[in-house]
Amino acid sequence: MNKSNKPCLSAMSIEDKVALLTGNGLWKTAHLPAHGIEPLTMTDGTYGVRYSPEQIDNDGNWSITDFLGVVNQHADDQTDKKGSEALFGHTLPATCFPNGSALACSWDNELVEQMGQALARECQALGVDILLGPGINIRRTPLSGRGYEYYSEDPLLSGELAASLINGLQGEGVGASLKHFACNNSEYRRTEMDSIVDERSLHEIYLSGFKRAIDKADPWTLMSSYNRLNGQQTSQHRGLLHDILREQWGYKGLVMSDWYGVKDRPASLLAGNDLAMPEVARDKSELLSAIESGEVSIDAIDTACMRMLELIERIGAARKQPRPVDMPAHHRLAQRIAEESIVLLKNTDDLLPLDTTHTHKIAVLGPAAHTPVIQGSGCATTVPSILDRPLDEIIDVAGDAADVTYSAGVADGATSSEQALLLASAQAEAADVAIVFINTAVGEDGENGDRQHLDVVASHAELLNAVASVQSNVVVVLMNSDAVVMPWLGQCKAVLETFFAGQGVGRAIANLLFGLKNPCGKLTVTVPNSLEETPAYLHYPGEALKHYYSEGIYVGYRYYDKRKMTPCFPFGYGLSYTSFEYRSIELVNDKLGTGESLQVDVTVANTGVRFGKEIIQLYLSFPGIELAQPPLALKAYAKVALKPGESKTVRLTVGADDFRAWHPALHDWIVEAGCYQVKVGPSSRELPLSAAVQVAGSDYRLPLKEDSSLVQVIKDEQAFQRVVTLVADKSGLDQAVITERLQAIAPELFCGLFIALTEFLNVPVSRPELLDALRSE
Amino acid sequence: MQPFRLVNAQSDKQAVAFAGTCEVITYDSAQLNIFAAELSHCQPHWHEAPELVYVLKGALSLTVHQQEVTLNTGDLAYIGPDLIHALENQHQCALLTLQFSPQLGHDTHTLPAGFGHFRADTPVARQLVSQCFTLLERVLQPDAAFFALQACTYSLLVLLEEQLGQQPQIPAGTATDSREEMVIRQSIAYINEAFAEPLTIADLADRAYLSYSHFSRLFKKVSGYSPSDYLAMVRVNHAKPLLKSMQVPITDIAERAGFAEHRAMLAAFKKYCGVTPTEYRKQYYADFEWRADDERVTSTPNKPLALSSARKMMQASILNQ
Repeated sequence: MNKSNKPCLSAMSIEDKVALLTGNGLWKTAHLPAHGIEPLTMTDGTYGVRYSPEQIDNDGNWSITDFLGVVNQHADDQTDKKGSEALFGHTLPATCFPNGSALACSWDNELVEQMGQALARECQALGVDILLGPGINIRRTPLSGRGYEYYSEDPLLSGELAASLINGLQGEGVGASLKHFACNNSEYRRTEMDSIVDERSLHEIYLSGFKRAIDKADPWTLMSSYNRLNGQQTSQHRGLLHDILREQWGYKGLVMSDWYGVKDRPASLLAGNDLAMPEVARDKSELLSAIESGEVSIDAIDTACMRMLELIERIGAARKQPRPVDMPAHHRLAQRIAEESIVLLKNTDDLLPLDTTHTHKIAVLGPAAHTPVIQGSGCATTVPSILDRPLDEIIDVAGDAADVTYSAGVADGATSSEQALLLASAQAEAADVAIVFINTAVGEDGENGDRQHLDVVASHAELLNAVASVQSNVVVVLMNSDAVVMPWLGQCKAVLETFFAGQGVGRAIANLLFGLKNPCGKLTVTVPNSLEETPAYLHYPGEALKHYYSEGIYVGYRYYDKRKMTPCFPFGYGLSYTSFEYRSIELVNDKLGTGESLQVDVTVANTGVRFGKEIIQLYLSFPGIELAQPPLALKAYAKVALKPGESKTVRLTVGADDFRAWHPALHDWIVEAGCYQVKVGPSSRELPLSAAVQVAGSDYRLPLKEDSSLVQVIKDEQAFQRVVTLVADKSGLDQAVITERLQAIAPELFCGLFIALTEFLNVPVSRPELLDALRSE
Repeated sequence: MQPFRLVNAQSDKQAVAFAGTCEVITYDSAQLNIFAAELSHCQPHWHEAPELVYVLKGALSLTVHQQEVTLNTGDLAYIGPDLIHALENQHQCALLTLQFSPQLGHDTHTLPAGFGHFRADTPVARQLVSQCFTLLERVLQPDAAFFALQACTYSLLVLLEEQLGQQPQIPAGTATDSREEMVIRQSIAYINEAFAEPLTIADLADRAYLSYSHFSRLFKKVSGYSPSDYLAMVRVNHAKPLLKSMQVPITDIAERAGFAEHRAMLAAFKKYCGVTPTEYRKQYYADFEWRADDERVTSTPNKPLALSSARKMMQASILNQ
């Protein structure tokens, strides 16, 4: 690859090179016909292809009104005709797949890969080379405006699913852009905020999903984020983009900025942000001046250009002939993913699935039954190719089996209305079961702004309350960006949590309600009892533009587990219409040497009467002696399909690297030696199977200083031996005696070693002598 | 929802009036009513005046006498006197319609009866199109000579008379007893107006002062449809544009169209549309061009086109041949 690029690079002028490292219009890269360089086309977003003919085909520029139009785009523009005409002018219809927050609940790598393939086919039909996704920022707080696009509060699950999506996309010849790198975990003043994250949390929680996706799927591009991280703009953060990404992880692809995310072009280039998007004249002129002044070396420019040329070559080789897209097939895929992703949170008295032999009259209530909230609001917002309305699909599936009535129960989608409420109550009372659709406020999620609270729309909660007072069989169908609080949970017997499940959500809901499909999604975030108990609450959203991630590594379930708090619904939770029994666990190897991975065989049976799928989850409990640890960390999972009465044994693998922890004193990963508990079950709070594995651990020496305690020094055999030798030298005592006495007295010595030796034990050592003994090799 | 009756906006010679029964068309001295429109739909109806439709663009389905025919761009269809017919846009369809006054037969002759479908690019269709075009040009002349216009109209009728003799005949809705026919016409007109009410066949029979079975038989004999089929079809046709609009919940649409409950709508759609209302709604939503247009389609069922634009479209398609 390099061979073919190099002649090209040597023939290019500085101006050409600068052009190559800057966008061309809004969505393309440089066109340099003299060097045979054709532009690449890219477009948003994370769950649908947002193609703007004006901006891409006509090289239109982004006027301020267009820009505001996209950033302030509300999802209901898509389904509500108001404003839709303006929108059709903006982007072409495309399959609106389940958003990240829904998709992830499928825990289904294969299905996510299929979605990636479908997205790629839609890209290719439009001539799009790179799709700007997936986005996998950790869902640290449910308030985050873009939580709906992201996968989980857990880095392993985020990284696995991202890898699957990327493999799907790139396998079909379309580049991915893994984003947003890194620590853009809320939208509040997102381009100004400085995320202050401790080293260990950064590596173990916020970066490890990116690392996993890179290791497993090698995304062709990666996108830096809008925020600052520990004081530096991420697009200009060499520690992040070079030291960690390139040197530690060995990433070879291209780094691009988020749109207008570069504040200082020369600094961003030097940091390793190769491509600045979109085209900004000032970026080019500033970079040119910096090259002329010598601030930026030609070597640095050439390195970035090489990555661009390699990307262009990679895409050129992978690009397929545009073919017509089978949109109905993609719609069916969107329906299937929605079916696999919706989570059944509650099902008292087995109210679901609806039994049409006894349920003759169904009251469907709530505006989202007719106008479903299928996606969030922002740059990912997609004009759906087809739309399944839950009410229409319920009627279609119910057919002749039941009578269905509907009323919105509120006015204009969200306004309380006594009259609407009376009608809804009357319908609910007359029915055998009421299905109430409630959602979060449309448009409150989104870019550059977070939610202010975790409640559903107030009038929807009122509707549920009114319905519950006249009808005991109430099913709630939830449509929400990220977790909501559920003070109304006692008013219903069943809850289907859909998050934002895309254009096929209506059919998926209908199929699940009537039992044509069996729910199998599980939560990828913890559902809290209150906003105030959430892990990030105390320091959210930061002050003076600094946002301290004060909960450290205790993000999501790690926090609830550590504090022994009971959330409303735990991470990994989800019910089924059938029942599963976790029968046995067997470790293929119960002692692990350095660099060995763990293999675990788990047998699960379907003990119910319906076909169903179960997501088997494996968590590790670390010894937690050297480094404090959360009680549980997800390390492997598998989704298994079981017929009634069937049992299967599934092999789960925990990679050697998944036993690692980041040691902030060593600035490196360690594996702590000791006994690790392997726990397996249907959710993070129900782990019936367990086994223990002995892990050899990695060799590491902690740095010792003159004020390190004797207890710490004794742990380091070599250092302790040198100290014993030093003390023997100074005191003339026998080394064995010294060793014995120091070990015996160590717990009593509350001072650091230097003071202990000189003041308490009267050993005349000097500082340099002691430091020499304590030095690391 | 009214049947497909449009006024030639270009001409002040037009005179279309709606009187009591299903549809009565009145004419000026030229005895010809000519208009163009972008068609959304037109529910089953009938009129004494025969009509010739020419598809300017797109495609539509024409239901005539319990059979459905697809008309594509350049096709023509002749619908003889008193044949019940319904039209439905399939894809961005525009139509030129010529309605011939029965007076053209001077009380001594009836105009050609039956139904004819003339596919584009057949010699017959070319002849008919050419004659229609000549007629249209005459109509568009500000001071069109009366006899020239009449001669053109009759030339067209000559062609139709010849062709219809050669087409397989569908029996025209010829009720032997004009009193009986009038009763059923009144019943149809009533259904067309009152379909949203909870009408039953027994009610309709009562209104006609006929027994249930006699009414049903007579209705079928006169219109070609059983009364319940006709009622369901009218309701389906009313529901269709509402389903396309996306604004109205499906349960409200069932109610507005007069279906006692959604199950009745489901059954009627399966029978007259081949798909469920849910599928029907999604088919149109999945048609991106149509969706971009939906504001227009829902605000007026059939959008009038200036005859001059119709002339241009016609000329272009003649030149293409």
